[in-house]
Amino acid sequence: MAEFGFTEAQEMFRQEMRRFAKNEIAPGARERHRTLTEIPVEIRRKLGDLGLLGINQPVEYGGQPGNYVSIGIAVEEIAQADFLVGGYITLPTAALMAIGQAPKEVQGEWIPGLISGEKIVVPANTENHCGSDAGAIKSTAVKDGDSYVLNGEKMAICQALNLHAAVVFAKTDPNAGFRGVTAFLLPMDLPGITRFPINYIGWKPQGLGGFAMENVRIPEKYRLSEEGKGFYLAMSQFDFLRVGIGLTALGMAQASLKEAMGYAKQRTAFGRPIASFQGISFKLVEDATLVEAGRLLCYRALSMKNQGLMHTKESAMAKWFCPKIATEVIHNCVLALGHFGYTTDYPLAERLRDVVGLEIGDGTPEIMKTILVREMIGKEFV
Amino acid sequence: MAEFGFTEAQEMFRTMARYFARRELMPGAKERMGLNRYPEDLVKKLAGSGFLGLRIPEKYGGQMSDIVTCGIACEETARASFLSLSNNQATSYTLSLTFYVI
Repeated sequence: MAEFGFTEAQEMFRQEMRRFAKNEIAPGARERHRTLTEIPVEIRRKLGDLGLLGINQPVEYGGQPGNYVSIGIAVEEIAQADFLVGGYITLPTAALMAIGQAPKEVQGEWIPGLISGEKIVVPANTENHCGSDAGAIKSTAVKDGDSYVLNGEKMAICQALNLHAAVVFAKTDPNAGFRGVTAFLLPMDLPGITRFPINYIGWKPQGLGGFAMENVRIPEKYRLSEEGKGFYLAMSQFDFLRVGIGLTALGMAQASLKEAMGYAKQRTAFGRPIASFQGISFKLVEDATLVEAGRLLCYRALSMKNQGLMHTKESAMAKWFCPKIATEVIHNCVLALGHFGYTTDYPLAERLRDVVGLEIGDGTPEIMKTILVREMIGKEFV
Repeated sequence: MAEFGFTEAQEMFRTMARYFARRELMPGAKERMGLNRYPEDLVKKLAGSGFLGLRIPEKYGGQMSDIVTCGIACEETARASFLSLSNNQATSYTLSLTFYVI
């Protein structure tokens, strides 16, 4: 094994993921994005069969040993074929970080379905009035006998329209700020839950939306954190999800660069391929350089997570940097193809539309930089 | 050892290099800006601490370290230069040239 590189096993895993993405995920991807409001269960099952949804999970529930760098490799490769499928891998992984805290009974109830791809469970934090200010959520959970009664509304939740359960964050002490936040597993078939869609400009199969909770009663066993400790759980999920978003964006950028380089070698102007004009070629290789820098940030963060080290700083760097440069890279690729780049005949313009959303979810660039100021300059300067 | 990180030995080398740079390279760095050569005592100190033998086989008295370790040597000596606005950047550059030639 080498420092600053992948193990041989990981390189082999990458080849396998590349083949899988090309043969199983790429066909029909753009059609799915036009027509579906879900990631079909057949695709989720394929991810499950490959073990991608259960890396690092107990073998008794269908999980397999592995590490977070490998998950990153899967995300990066599959995102080149369909960014939502690549990104999807991170959602159950993050949910499992929370469900792993539940009593055995609840784990046995939910983890096997999550790992196989049958069930969808994602974290639900954001509300209508607050996203960045995650400690300001208004959803409440009131203890009543051996259950909790939840009220409130969540929005901008991935797969909201298709969820089987959500890792939901609510205040058990509404006056305590972020120290009043507690995590619960919320099965979505309980009475009192109403879902609603949110119309993103792209991302259709993400089934984006929200749900209202009106006197939803859940048994105490579904509480996933100690009362008032949910915020820390949310943050550790974010530290992982943010790297996943970085690698998703970089996957999209790499697919775009591949297309643009291919095009630039074929297309001629003034009697030669446009790849021989430095106005085109320099931009493409500069962009490839930025992508490579972003990859190092992401894999470094995942490698630190593997070792159980704090990686809030590294994740925040990856989350602001990667989607931003991916947006710029894809923009450049659109322009390299000229008129064709902006048509629906090529996937580039759609990708440009879609990648912008990655800059927003799970923490805006501004919030990432606020985290970095706190980590690197001092909390008194935040 | 972790992928995408430094080995324990590399981290120890970095600590040593940083300490060396702070103790030996930073003092007088600004004054050395006026010289057009390396002061001999400085070169001897670099040699004495093993910086010049990082890519030299052990049979010639070197240590034959890996290239990442050489990168650490460059980065840490240049750090002293940056802090003191000195010509230690040249020290780091010369080190990298040494690595290259060898």
